[in-house]
Amino acid sequence: MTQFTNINNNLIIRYLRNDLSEAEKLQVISWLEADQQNVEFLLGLKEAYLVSRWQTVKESADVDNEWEKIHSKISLEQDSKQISKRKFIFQFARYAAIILLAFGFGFLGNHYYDVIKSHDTTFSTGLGRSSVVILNDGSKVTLNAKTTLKYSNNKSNAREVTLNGEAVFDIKKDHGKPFYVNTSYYKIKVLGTLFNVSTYDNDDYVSTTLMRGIVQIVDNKSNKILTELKVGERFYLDKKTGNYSINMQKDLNDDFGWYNGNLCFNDILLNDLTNKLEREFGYAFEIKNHNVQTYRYKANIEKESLENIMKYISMVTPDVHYKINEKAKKILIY
Amino acid sequence: MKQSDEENLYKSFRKGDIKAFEHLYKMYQPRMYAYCVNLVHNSDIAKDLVQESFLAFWENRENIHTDFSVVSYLFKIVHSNCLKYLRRASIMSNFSDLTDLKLKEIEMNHYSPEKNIFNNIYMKDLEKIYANSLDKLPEKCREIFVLSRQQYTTSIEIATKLGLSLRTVENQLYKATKILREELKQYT
Repeated sequence: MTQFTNINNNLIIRYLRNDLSEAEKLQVISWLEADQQNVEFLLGLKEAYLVSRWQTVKESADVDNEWEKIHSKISLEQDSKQISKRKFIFQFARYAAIILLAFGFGFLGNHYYDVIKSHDTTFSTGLGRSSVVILNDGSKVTLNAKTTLKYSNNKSNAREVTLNGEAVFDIKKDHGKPFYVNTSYYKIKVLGTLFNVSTYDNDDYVSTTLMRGIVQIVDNKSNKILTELKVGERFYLDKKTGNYSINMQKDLNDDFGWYNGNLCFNDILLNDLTNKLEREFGYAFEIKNHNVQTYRYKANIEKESLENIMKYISMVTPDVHYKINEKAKKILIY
Repeated sequence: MKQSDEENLYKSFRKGDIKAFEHLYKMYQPRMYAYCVNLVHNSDIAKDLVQESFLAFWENRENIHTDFSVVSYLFKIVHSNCLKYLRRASIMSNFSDLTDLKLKEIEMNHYSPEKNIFNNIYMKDLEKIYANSLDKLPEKCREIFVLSRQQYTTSIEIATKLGLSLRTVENQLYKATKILREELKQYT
């Protein structure tokens, strides 16, 4: 074995004990590379060394505990295999049912990308954000800020959503399968169309405006058809009195402006205007000057900052003063 | 184990018999662990690598098209998982340990699954070899050797403990290992 002794025994021992310095490792490598027999010699010693330490190594392998771990994992998988196969198909159908394209747009020209998780079938948007939800039938629902859309697909022959907030519905035609939009005050029966529904809790009204096709407004209690809207018509229900009116809209921008990325005020009270701004920009408004509350505003604003919008308001109505508190996100009108 | 028993075990395993898998696991997990731990030098990582490999072994049992030495398939998985781990670890450390990796790759190449698996120590009943081997050492040699097997006992500590020079200790260790090596050859 003399040919193997051209390396220091200490190096070999330290190699076996994983105790080599960087320089020594290089030394061992070049010795190993010089002759394949060296590799066999060294690894043979290493095997012997391993065998001699076998009891210790085996103990640290902790085989019984490790088996328990892998065993429970495998049994769990086996048990759930059948279930999970079904579950997977079910979930796949559910996720496929609602392909969500979420995006947002702000008036500062910023685009917010808002991905809504579809663990359940409720979608919601935050302040100043809007999102698009595409339902499994291809219908597209664009949600305005601070809006919740519940999608229920449990009735086999019905397409049905519940809305809180504001959204534009672009519903795919499907004969024999009407689409329903539920609000707390009435529901809208749809057969392929484009329309806007606004049903915010803190607004005084619930409105539906039709841009294309036909929708029927159905009373929640009696299930009676209240009216059938024609293109350009707006169904407006006063929450307090329960009275409703149908008006032909001269300018659809009022209801669809937000959908196109604009902010529209169509002859609305200052209070309603600040409600809209609150939803868009996330600022809380406080109106201390009661004299200005009856002022009405009509405007179509394209991508402006809140600061500029406030400037315009005080420009057209100079007795409206305002103070912006950036930190607290509050605007005081006095 | 008789060869026919072994073949039956492999057959049952491939059919998804969990008892057969348990048998194989308990037989080979410590050896696969030994292979990994001497390369990654970390008990937890070695255990994880082995566990991961056995899972793949179990999940792919139906794809093994032989009743002959199913465990060589297991060793292949362990080997490649280990190599993957070492290379990734090297990348993660910005190749600061290239020398170490090179040394390990020389070693791994020696145990490459393409080579005859029956010469592979990790496929053997190490327990039996161990039991037969240690007695063959001269007494002095064995004493040093047994001490050296305890983890974290350095050669210097052994030398101090036994009142020997470092050189003597390392020579004895070398001698012991070589004797064991000769013993091992009987099993190859």
